[in-house]
Amino acid sequence: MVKRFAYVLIPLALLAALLFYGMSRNPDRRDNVRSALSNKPVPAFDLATFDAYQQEYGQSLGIGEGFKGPLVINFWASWCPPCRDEAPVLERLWQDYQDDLLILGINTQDPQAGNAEAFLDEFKLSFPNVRDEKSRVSIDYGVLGLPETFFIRKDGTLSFRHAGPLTKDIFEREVAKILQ
Amino acid sequence: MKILFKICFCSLLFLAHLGLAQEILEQRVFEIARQLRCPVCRAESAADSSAETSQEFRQIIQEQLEAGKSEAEILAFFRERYGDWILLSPPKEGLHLLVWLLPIIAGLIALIVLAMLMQRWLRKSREHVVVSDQDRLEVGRALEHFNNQKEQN
Repeated sequence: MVKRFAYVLIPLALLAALLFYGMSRNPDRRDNVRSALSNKPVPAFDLATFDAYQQEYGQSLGIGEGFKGPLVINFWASWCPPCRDEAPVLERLWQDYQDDLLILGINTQDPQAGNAEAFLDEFKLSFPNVRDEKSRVSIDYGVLGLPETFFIRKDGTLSFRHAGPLTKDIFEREVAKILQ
Repeated sequence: MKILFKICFCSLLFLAHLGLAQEILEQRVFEIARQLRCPVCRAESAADSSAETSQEFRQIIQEQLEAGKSEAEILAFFRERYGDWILLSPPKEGLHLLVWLLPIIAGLIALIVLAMLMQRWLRKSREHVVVSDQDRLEVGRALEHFNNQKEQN
């Protein structure tokens, strides 16, 4: 009997499995969306540095043609609670890794520059931070939500994009890959 | 006086033309933005969302239209950065074709199964029914029993 209806049951089971897969996916989770830039050279940019970093890093910072990494770019905004959670983690990691790579914070989707400056003051972030006033750089990088961190290899290609707050474990795992 | 009237008329015509061109451009911007997902919202298009990123999406679309880019080129610009995820309707190519073809294939399978079942039912209904003497005897007995009960009531 089952054999007779196999030609109906098998496609039905496949469709049901597809439906179940679709329904069980959480639309709010964006960390499972692979970056379109993976393994490609990252887009160039040049953004104004926040006042606090101008003396050490100049008036603007960015990556141009022929850029060589390794580099970790972190997109953040002052209104974003997970960004507040990860800020102290990033600062500690910068203290440990500043001889091996550069961490660059990009403030984006933040209408008030004053709020961003207050955020930098509050967390005493010593790695350089720049301001993406019109969110154009975050669009060029295909940022889906905040915070997001991009791990860029020595050859200037994207190794990994992490969506959501960064942990020490994720950072160390991905940094080991870009330092190879 | 006549010259002044002509200047006024031409200026009005020029302003109307500018206004119309701007309106058409805005319509095109929203048409394209409607095909794109707002990356920082939930289930909203870049045309419907008021998020800063969506506003910037619309600005980019307008700039690219003004630069003479086609709709396909503008959509490709966003796909390069966000992948196919950014499109609200999956593209009709590659693995995404499954999304468009599966409902048609499922419908066709259902039609074929229905046709096969109907053919079987029709074949069965056309088959000659063989009634044995034993069957006739049993039906006769049942009818007799039924009539007897009817008379008693």
